[in-house]
Amino acid sequence: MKTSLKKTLLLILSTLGLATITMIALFQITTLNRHQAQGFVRYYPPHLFSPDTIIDVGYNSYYPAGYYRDTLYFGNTTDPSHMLGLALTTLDTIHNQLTLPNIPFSIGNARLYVLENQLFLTEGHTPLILSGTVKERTLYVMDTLSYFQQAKPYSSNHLMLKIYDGSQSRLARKQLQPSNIKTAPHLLTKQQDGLFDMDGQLHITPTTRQLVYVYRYRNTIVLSDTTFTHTQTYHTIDTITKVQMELVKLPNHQTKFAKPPLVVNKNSAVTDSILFVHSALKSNNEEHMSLTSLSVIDLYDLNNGHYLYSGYIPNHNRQSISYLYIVGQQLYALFGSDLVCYTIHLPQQPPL
Amino acid sequence: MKNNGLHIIRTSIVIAYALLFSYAAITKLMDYAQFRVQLQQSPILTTIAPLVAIGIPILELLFALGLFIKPLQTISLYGSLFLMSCFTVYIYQILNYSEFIPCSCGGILENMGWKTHLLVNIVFISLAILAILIKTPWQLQYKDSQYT
Repeated sequence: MKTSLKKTLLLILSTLGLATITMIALFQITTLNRHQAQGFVRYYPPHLFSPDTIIDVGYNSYYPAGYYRDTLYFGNTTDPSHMLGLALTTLDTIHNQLTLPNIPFSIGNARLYVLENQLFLTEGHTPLILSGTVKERTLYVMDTLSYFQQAKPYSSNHLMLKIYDGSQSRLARKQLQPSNIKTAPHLLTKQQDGLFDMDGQLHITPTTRQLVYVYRYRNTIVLSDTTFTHTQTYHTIDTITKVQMELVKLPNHQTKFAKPPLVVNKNSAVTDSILFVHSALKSNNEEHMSLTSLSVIDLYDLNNGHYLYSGYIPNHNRQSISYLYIVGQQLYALFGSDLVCYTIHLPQQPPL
Repeated sequence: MKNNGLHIIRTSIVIAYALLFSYAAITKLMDYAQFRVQLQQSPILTTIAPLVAIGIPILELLFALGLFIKPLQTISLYGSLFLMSCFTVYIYQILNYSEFIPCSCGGILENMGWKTHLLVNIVFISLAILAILIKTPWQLQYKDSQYT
């Protein structure tokens, strides 16, 4: 009887011990996986993005142009002379007419930027760079020399350009007065044709003026200061290091995709410290899910390139996010003509 | 019948466990997709979530069933104790080591806070130990009838 009691107690203790060991092992495995970034697993803190308000901006041709003095400005792809201002505290919308010089340019390619109190209208095919002030809303010709695919102004006299030199895309620093351009020879890397495979989104962080380039078809993020002296390459959490696309050259010298390429990073936005990436890829812990009814936004620390967290943003009116913009603790997502504002709640605990 | 009181306690504990586990398993399986998503978002289970998602309700149902089959009752109690201990350690890990605390533990007792949950689990662990320690009366009866 005595031995039986001893045996039972021992069995109970072993059961408790086994349970503890099992759970500790599970915890260790998951933590290890995460920090070695071997697997591709996302972490979802609760309520990372909580929706606040929905504002109908009227047309789906608006895109965020910049933020200045509590107002979020939008450019319009069908009417480059039109600028919409949204006062973020009162949610009042202000429609502004811009005065443009009488020069023909490609309307669809023109992009408006608001940088502090400066306005820039850039169009890389003509090419044309216009600038003016938010207050006066009259734009003047600043440059008609440099062709580019994308332009991001970062001071009243400087823009970061993404140019195509005939063999591949490169980043270049453009000075307006006196006109000068400096190309970064090795910042972006060619994997296939040098044009399609290097597609991506160029950002300049709002106050630290850090250049961030997010490739569309591979898991690479390039960081640099605007003088190209300190550069860093980081990777998003997925495993697509090589572009997966097939191109065909048509008899009329046009290059087209033979089949839809694998998109890695659909859209992105930056603050001074965090990069927000709308990823197109599913993680191991989302295998059963469909990413057609929601968008996954991954957050990365821009200081060290580490993956932080992810959050879901469900589709709005059956539309996926067309543009992302971050102001302070607010994330603004444009779904066609509806702008949805979310508050970002970063977890309190620091990462392990 | 000296063992009668203890027998009633043990039977009550067994019934409580069986009810708890069947309820927990059924709510999980009824909204399986939701449960799976919740597990995958847990900071501790992410990588093995699919396995855990199906494994937990199956084990819960097996133990709930086993608790009513007398020859399997004791082993099922050990199983339940193991499972309950795992849940408890999990909650402890979530509360102390996790980067963030997930919304709910899914399905059962959703409105209960994590700390209350920890307490309830500890009570259930104690109950399982108590039930195991109460000697299995039918075995004694069986032996008694053999030896008398």
